[in-house]
Amino acid sequence: MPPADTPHHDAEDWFLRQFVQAERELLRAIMSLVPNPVDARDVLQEATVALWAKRAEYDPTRPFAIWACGFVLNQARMFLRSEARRRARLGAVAEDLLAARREELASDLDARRDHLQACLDALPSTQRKLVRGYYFEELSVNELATRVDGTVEAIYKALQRAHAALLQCVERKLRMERAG
Amino acid sequence: MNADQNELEALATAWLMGQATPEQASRLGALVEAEPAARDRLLVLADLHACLMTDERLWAERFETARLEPARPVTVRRRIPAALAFVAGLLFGFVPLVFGYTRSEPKNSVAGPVPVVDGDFESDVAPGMTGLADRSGVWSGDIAALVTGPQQAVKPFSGQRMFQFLRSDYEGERFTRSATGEVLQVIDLRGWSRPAGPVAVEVSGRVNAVRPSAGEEYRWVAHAFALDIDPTTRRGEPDYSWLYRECLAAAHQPGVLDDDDATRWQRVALEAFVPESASFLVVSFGVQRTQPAPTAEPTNFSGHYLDAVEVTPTTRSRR
Repeated sequence: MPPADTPHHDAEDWFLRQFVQAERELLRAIMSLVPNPVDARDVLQEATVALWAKRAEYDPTRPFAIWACGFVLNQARMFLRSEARRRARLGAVAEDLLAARREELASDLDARRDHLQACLDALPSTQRKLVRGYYFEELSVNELATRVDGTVEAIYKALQRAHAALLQCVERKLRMERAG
Repeated sequence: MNADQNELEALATAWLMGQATPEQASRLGALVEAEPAARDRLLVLADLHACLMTDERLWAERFETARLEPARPVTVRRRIPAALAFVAGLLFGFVPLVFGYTRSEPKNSVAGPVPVVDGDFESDVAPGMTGLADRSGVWSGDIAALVTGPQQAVKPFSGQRMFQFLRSDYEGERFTRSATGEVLQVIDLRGWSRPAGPVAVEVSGRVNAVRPSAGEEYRWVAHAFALDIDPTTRRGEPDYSWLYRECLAAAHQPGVLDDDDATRWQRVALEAFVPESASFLVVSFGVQRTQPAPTAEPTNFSGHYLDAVEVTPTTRSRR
């Protein structure tokens, strides 16, 4: 945190640096309610307005990312309500429950993320190529289907299985870690 | 996996990928409302999706192979309406790092080489150590050195010389609570042979470091800012936050973890958007100590090197 006698300008610079460092985590949190990354970035932009306006209320003894997470999740809920007519929504109650639970699960999700790289590397080659194609190469499901000469439905199923395999691997590593 | 969990995972996958119908989304919402375990499972799946989608570190080879191909979306920041005044000025100042963009298609991706000067650090011109330089075409930033030949088992990526980061502050800097050592170059684009319209460029550099001490972790960062004002006239600014505020477009590489292997040069790259009205491009490379946390003192770097900086026009991203 900046020293108490930090000039105003430096305090803003410090806030800015904290924000830049937390940006990835904030985007992650938003995507728990708004999974489309383009929409999620729009939400983050709006949330940043709120964050900046409230920066004087920030208690620097609290971790910045945790404090900011509350803002961005609230912004995500507001976004979903404003976009209700043109989106397939889970429903306001479910969204509120998820937002509240997301904050409670933050440290568990961080622990899971720490094992993701190893589990991604351990995926069978076919699954890894598929995950890489969708998430890194940003190929659409249709493009992936064309690439492997398969159907769109089959790609969805395969991605679902890849997600499940990754989560299984992460959970196995977590159990081993906790067992010492 | 039982039938309910199977249904949940199928619905969740469709929802995460934007393919769920309103009925499917509603059904997923009902499952989440009714069952705390379903709530947790959806959050875990959504976080997996988010990490895979947004965490470039998971795809580290991306920065170590020859090209960003296919690339991320090329984006340009909206110009800030004057009416937004203070909040917008400060706020959107750092928003363009990652968002706040209007998508715009470059009309033509063919352009001549971007005139970065001494990208291979082979000249004997020592880098400036007073922050942003007072002229274009020179390297300047935090306290650093130009070194010749192998250093602590790190050999230059190419040629005889390489750039060495030494500290996270520059001479006369007021804000020293930083763990990032940076070097910047202002590139004057006014003589650049370029087609009409916006152009995408790839900014890349090679980075390497000695093995860190126990408990230390470093990552490599890079930034690019396109401007229609001459940044060298702003040299008196106390920090670089004005760059975020006043740029036309910006891009950043938020952090490639150092691989702890002094024998291997990693590649750090980003794709930046250069609007037609941009006359200057500021490129910046840096090393950030992420563990342990910064103290009140500037951070010293024990053996962190940069070489082979290039700025090249690139092909257009697909989406």
